[in-house]
Amino acid sequence: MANPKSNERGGSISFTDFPEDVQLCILSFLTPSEVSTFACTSKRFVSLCRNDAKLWFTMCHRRWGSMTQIRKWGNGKIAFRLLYKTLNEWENLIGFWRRSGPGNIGISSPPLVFFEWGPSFLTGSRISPSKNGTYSVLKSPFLWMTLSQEGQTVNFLDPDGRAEVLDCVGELDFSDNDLVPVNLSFMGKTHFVVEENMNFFAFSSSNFRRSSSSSNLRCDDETEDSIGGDSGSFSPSHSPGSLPDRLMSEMYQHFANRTSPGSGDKRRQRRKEKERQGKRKWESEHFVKIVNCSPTLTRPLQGLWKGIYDDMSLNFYLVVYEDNGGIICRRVGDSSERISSYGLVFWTSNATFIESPLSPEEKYLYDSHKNI
Amino acid sequence: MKFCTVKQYFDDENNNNVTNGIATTVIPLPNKHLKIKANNKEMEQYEQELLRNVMPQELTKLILAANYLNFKEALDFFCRTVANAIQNKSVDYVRKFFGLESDFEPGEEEKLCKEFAWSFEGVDED
Repeated sequence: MANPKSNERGGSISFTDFPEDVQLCILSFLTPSEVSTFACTSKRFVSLCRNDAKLWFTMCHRRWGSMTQIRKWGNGKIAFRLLYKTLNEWENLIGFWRRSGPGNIGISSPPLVFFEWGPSFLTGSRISPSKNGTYSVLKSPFLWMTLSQEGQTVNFLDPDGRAEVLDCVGELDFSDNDLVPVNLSFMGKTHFVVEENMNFFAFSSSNFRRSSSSSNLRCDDETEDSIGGDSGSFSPSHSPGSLPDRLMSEMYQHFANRTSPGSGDKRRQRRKEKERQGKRKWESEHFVKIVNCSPTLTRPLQGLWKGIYDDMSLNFYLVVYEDNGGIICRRVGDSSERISSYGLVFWTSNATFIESPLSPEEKYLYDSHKNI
Repeated sequence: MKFCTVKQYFDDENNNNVTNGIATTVIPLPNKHLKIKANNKEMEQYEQELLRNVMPQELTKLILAANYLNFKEALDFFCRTVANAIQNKSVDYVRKFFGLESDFEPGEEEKLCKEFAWSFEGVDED
């Protein structure tokens, strides 16, 4: 469609007729790219589009206001434009993920992880079956992601999963040696890596003096220059460089062997780590998203389930509908690199089975219960 | 509540800000809203119907009326309509839509676009 309404109907909406608040209201329904487009139409609208306190705040609030407290992030001191960019990326984390590959040695950690919104941060919790013979589960927060008031990404994890750490994310004290600062890097939308950030302490004090990329100042007047320049950086050592060899070969292996659901297409990678100094407290872990974790009308068995199997202990199972019409049920935490009969509870090619088939399936059907 | 300003409007007879035509469109909105509140889809259809027949200048007046009446839901609705009209469109389209002229010097616009570069994704071909 080549002609906007104005030409057809012989009139156009005059944006300047509206008071500023109305103008901001209209713009607040747009995505960042559309706001940019608007900013490029005419000089006089540039500062309007940069209005952080009203415009970008409203944009954040529209999208995430019901899930988190927008004004609390970064102690209320960060630019909302930066916050939008951050939340837009992190929002993808919400939901269930499973660890792919071995966890850290010496730390027994369940492979199922759940991310959710906090008031001013995101939490990742490990989900493990409680051992009391019922269907209840234990949720232990172990990973927190937030922004400091200087706009720096602050992610850290607690390897032991003590739950009480967290009401005061902002005042965290890293001298508590149990907390490990980490980087969380996405590889596409369904895969991320969490690794220890060995440079966190080196960078945290000197980072935001760098004039070219401090994108965290919030000011509404025209002399604002903080958004310009380095558009991609809001973390300490942004450099789209190459991965160290070890990690690359891990990744290649991982993608070569994986047969489980979830795509591995790497649309972007962001690596922040530089040299390693000192001993690692925590080895990297990879996580893959559990897509389709709830049943739908056409796929009533699909999703993540709690089940009690032969050994009478609670475990988590993932039921996936394959393209060829089959249904696979696999216990979460079993090696997913190969389909092996060891790991499967049942596999059927008849997607509409009505009669009770073999006994494992029977047990599964009887005992299945939806995970929250 | 939202009806306070409306009452004020009716009480204040010398009111030039909102013509009758606009008033008849805007004011029934809260009632309709309440009736259809449960069903979002119906509300959407109602809204589409309303807007199909509205000329751009009328939309401007509707917005100003809703703003004056302090009628937030209607204001949001009309603003969203305008926003939807320029969703995913190019800079030129938006200029034509609002009747704007470019006042940039030749390299300036490009520089500005670069500044916002991270947000330029998925724009329609006109």
